[in-house]
Order: sequence, then structure tokens, then C-alpha cells
Amino acid sequence: MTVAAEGTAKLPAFQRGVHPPQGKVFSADMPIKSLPAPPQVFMAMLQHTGAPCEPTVKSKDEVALGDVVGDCDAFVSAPVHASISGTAAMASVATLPNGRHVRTVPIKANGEQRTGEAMIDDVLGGEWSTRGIDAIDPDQIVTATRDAGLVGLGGAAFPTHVKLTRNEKTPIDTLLVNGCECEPYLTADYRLMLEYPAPVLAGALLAAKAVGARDVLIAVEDNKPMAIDTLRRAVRGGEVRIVEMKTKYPMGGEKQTILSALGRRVPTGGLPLDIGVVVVNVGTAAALARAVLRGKPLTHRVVTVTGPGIHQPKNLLVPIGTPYRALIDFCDGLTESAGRIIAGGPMMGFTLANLDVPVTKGTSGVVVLTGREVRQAGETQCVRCGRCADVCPLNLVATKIALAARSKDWLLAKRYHMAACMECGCCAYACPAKIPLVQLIRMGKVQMPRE
Amino acid sequence: MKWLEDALAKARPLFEGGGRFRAFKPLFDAMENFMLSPSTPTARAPHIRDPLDVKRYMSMVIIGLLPCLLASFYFFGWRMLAMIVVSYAAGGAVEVAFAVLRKEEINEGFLVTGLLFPLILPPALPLWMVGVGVAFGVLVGKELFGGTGRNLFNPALVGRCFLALGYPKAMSSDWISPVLAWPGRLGEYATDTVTSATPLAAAKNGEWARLGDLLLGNVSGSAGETSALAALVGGVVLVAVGVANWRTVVAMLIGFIALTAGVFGGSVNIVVWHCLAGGLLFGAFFMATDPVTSPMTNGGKWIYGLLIGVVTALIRNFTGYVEGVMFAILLGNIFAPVLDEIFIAVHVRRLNREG
Repeated sequence: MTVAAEGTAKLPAFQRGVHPPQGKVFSADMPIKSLPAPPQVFMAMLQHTGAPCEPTVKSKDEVALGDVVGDCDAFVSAPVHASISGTAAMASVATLPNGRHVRTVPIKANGEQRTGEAMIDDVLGGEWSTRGIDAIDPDQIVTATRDAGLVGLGGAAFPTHVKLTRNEKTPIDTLLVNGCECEPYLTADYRLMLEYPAPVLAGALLAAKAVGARDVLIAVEDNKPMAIDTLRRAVRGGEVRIVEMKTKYPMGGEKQTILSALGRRVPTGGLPLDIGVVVVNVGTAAALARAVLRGKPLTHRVVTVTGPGIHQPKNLLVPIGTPYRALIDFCDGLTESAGRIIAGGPMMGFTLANLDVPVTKGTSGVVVLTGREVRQAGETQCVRCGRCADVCPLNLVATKIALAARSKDWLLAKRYHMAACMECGCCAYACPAKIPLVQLIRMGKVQMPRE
Repeated sequence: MKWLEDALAKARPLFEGGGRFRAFKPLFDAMENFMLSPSTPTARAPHIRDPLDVKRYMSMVIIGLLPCLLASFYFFGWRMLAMIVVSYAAGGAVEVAFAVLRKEEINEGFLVTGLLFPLILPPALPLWMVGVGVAFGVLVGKELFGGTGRNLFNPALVGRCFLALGYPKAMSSDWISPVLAWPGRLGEYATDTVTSATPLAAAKNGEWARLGDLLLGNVSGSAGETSALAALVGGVVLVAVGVANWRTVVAMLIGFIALTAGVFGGSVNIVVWHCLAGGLLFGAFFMATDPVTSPMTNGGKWIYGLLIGVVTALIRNFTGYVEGVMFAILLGNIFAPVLDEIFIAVHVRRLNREG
């Protein structure tokens, strides 16, 4: 595989994968709107991968938009900032959609809130000059990123400053901005690239400056031609390459993006930085630009509220910590046929059982499906058809791993390389026997005794 | 359909927990599944699933078999129908008995085995042999291994192998001469018809059947295999919808053609003749591709297909048997799990080395 120059034909894709129905039509044409500040937000103290924060405010403290409300000394962590102005209340515990019980600091809205166009202008709009970026000190970018509480907005929510911190042993040559958005239904990244390409580009250059990467590219799936055009027009004359990727799930998985865009393979159990690449999501790039160029923390993010089970699908700029219920209400609520509410996309997202839990930094969407989409046959015996192996981007045989994990045969699970699985869910999507393959593997990874 | 749903819902308690007919729950479940479409929601991510489930998978195989089935009716008469009924009844009895004993669901896979089996038998075979054969195949070939998904050998071929060894005379002489002119044997039960040697047997004596007859099916042979055209049409449909894996089919044909061409010095005519004769195409599309008994890995499928193709050609040309597809596929079945293990081990070792 070769690295293609800007504007050349499509790049070779990673092998295998699946093509689920895209479902992007529901919200693809809805411009990003600002969700009005809710009467109360709940700031979760753990919204990222890493150490949880401790609340830094007491009950009845007055906080302003952007004030730190939780922080932690650990390197792999990120502070949490108030997303509205108001009064803090007693910390309590909430169960996030991913099943984690985390402390949350409620903030009751108080006084005037910035909202509507003004809020969007503050977060995404206006001028984003890239001229001074070369003069900025890399350490200053990393510090600003950490102070802004920036984490990966693509879903995994890994603290961004950790990725951007330079390491003598592994020099970085490439910064890849991930705009694939391969999860069906979600359009938050698409709208961001289409409407506000400037902060994305500025963020990409800042991240490249921080890690010392010379090659900067933005990867976008070819089902978003308008976003690709917009970005190409925006970079004209600049050094950022826009690469068009084949539409295929899980193209947005960073290992697949790197393999398809650069022809480089991330070792099993390794990280992109092992092969000199840093990957950030487009939303993260835009938030990075805001943090460094405007000195503003991560308090809002774009969330897609969509699916056949919602009356008015929308792309919303949401204060982090807003209860899911407020998002759904703002989209005119659920339809009669709504059967399942998912935090995230339908391939990797979590079922929402309780609508009063807050949106976190990693929430990319709320997808409401009807009974028809989530219907399936009951689980039957594996017929060894091999479809799971035929779709696995890593060429693993999921059914062998999953059945070993189910019977807790760890030796066997290891022989079939359970640890290499990245839980994209292609196997469970394709399985005709409807065996919950990826769930079994996920459980197996948790249950397997550590050596 | 509302009344059906209500009736089933009303009957359900009888088959559950302490109900009077609780032993027959598998039978009830099978009926409910067959009549109503599934309505269980997904449990967790991925929340959406590919619409292809095992039931649809098996239905596709049956649709793919239709051309061969119709050809067998046309050429050999409606005695075929009797054979199918016996096959379903005898094999189904074993299947249901085991489902009840194991308290498991009746599996759709049997619908395929029960239909495949008569299609690979001589069309004048006594009906009791059909019953004994399919019962043996399902019992020994599948249930004793632990049921659907766990069997090593293709159950239909196990049944046929049993008959071939137990009743060699009937299995090698109960042929029926086909009738090509409209309406074929559609109007006959066809029991007292003249028998004639199969093309592969006749070829040993230097009588080569015409290519056109092989293509259409106007030759003697097992009920479903004689028409190469019907097998191709149904088989291509199966490959196109992804139910039969193309790698297995292509590999088997490559292996067979390569060796046959070697034996006959590359004579195109004879290679094509051999491809159309006997059960090669039927075996390649419908038997070798059985998901349960073929490898899961793509690499394994290539080797498995090549092996079957080569062995078929070897048996046809260098043994006392005139046809080798059955033994070749059974032999391939033995290798399937080993091939998977080898391919997985090589791949995992590579992943570990890279990481």
C-alpha cells in the first residue's frame, strides 16, 4: 500500500469489516443548533479513561461557566469544568450508560446563561487564525490542553494531553485527524466539518505542532463528499492533506484508519504512537483550537440526537452534564414506535435505561431505534459458518474466542488471541446464529485472571 | 395472523414448566418459530444485526436446491416426492426424539439434510432404504456428535456412505433412464423403468455421454445431480447471496480441473465432460459448502476445496470407484477442523511477533 497524495483516488481500505445500514439521512441536513442551558447539569467526575477527579467545589458554591469543579493530580486524567453558571449542590452518585458508578456534582442554573447563536459563536464560530501557530511553544499547547480538560471526543475519551506529550523514545511524524464517523446514524462530526472547518484545521495544526509531526492529514469517509469538499477548500495552499476513505465499519477505529490512510499497521496491544502516529477526532481538534487559541475549557460538545424513534432529529451543541432527557425533549420527544434509546452509535453504544443521567465528554450521539431495527432471532447453536472470521478486521475467529470465554477456558481463549480483539462488534453484527460474540469476548477479557 | 398468535399464546402454558406436554416444548417452539417471525430484541451492542439468521440461511439453501429438485421430478418422475416424504419423516423422527431428550430446540438444519439426502440417491432406490439411510445419517452423522453445529461429517453424506457400503448393489444399479421429451416423467411414478449405467460408469467402457445431455440432465445418475445446469443455476444463486462460500466452490473446481487436465493431457473436451458428469457440481455447490463441516477460516476453505477437488479426480481415475465426490468431501470434512487450527495458529503467531 502506498501513501496517496491529496486529491488522488480512493485509498485501499483495511480488509473485511461490515456495511450496516447507514441511517445518516435522519440528521445529516440538520445544522448544529445550541441546546439552551438546562435548569440543572450533573458534572460527572469521571468522564474519561484514567483516574477520577475529586470535586473542587462545595455545596452552595457559586460557579461560573468554565470554572473547574473537579480535578486530579494523576497524569492520565482531565479536569472537569462547569458547563453552565449556577450554584453547586451536594455531590451524589450517578450510573453512566457504560455501567460505571461515578460521583457527580450537580449545578443549578443561576443568573444569565449564554445560549443560542452566542454560544455557538463562542465555541465554534468566528475567526480561527492559523498564522501564529508556528510560534507557539509545544509545552504551552500541552498545558492548555490539560487545563481545558480535553479528552478524545470520538468515544473512548482518552485524555488528549497524554497523547500530545512528547516522548524522546518514540518520535511522532504523522498527525491523523479522524473524521471517518463510521458509526451508523451519527452526524455530529460531519456537521462540524461541514459548518466549522476552520477550528478543525487550526486544531489539527496545533496538535501537529505539539507532537512535532510533519505530515498532517484529515481522514473522512467517502459517504461525506460535502465535508471533504469543504475541508479541501479550507486547506487550499496549506499543508494539511484531506484523504477520502472507503465507507465501511469500523473505518473510524484508529487502527483501521491508520492502516487505510497510511498503510501502517499498529502492533497488537500497541498504540498508534508506537509507529509514530497520533490520532485525534475532529471534535477533539476543534476543542483543542478553542482551548489554545481562546483559552476556553471543554464545556460543550456536539451531540447527534437521531433515529426513527425521535420526532425531530437534530445536531446539538450541548452543555456537558445535561441530562439525556433534556436533549430528547428538545427534539420533540420520542415517537410511539421508539423501542431503544442508545448512548452512542448502534454498533458500539450503550442502552440507556435511565434518561436522567448526564451527557459526558465522550457522548457522540443519542440514537433512538424502533422495535423493528433491534429485532433479531433468538440465539442458536454456532453452525461454524465462519462469517465472524470473514468480517473481523483483525482476522480473528470470534466464535472460537467467544465460546472459549463462555466456558471460561482461558488457555483456549489465549490460543485464539482474545486479547487482540478491539470489540468493534462486526462479528456479532454478522453472526447468523445471533450469538452475542463481542459481548462474550468483552466479558471474557474482564473475567480472565491476570497473570 | 392474529388468531394464530392467540392460539399459540393460549397453548404455550401446556408446554412450559409444569404443563401437561412440557416434554414436547421443542416441538412447540419449532412450530411457533416456523409460523411467526422472531421478535426478541437485541440484548446489547451491536444493537442492529445483519438480517441473515440461521433460519434464512437454511431457507436460502432450500431455494438454491429448487432447480435440482424440479429437474429430478422432470427426469425421474414423482417417485422423488415419495423419497422426500420418507426422508423427512424418518430423519425428522430422529431429530425430534433427540431435541426432546436434550430439551433443545429443533434445528432448521434438518430441513436441508432431509431434502439433500434423496437428491444424492439413485432414483429407484427402495423407500425403506431411504428411511434407514437418513435415520443413520442424522443419528450417527449428527446427533451422536452432539447435534447441529458439532458434527464433523455432513450427515447426508454419512447416510449415503452407509447405504453405499451396506447395499452396494442397489446403490450402484437402481438408476432410472431419464426422459427428455416433454413432459418427461412428470406423469409417472416410475418404478418399473429400465435402468442404465451412469455416464461415469459407461465412460469406463469407452461410451462417452453427450455434453448436451450432461448439461441438461438427460443421463442416468443420482436424482439431483444429473442436471449440471440446474446445479449451476441454484449454486450460483447460493454463492451470490453469500450462503455458499465462493472460495470453497472455486478451490474445489480448480483442484479437480487441474488434476483431471493432468490425467488427460489437458484435453479441454474431457475436462469439461468430467466437470459436468456425476455429482461434481452438485457436491461443490451444495455439499462441500455445508458451513458446519467445512473450515471457518478463508485460508482453510481454499485448502479444503483444493483437497476435495484433487481427491475426487484421483478416485474417479485411479480407483475401482467411478465417482469420488462423496468420499472426497467426507475426507475433506476430517481435515476441516485441523485446517482451521493451523490457519489460526499461524495468524496468531504473526500477530504476536508484530506486537
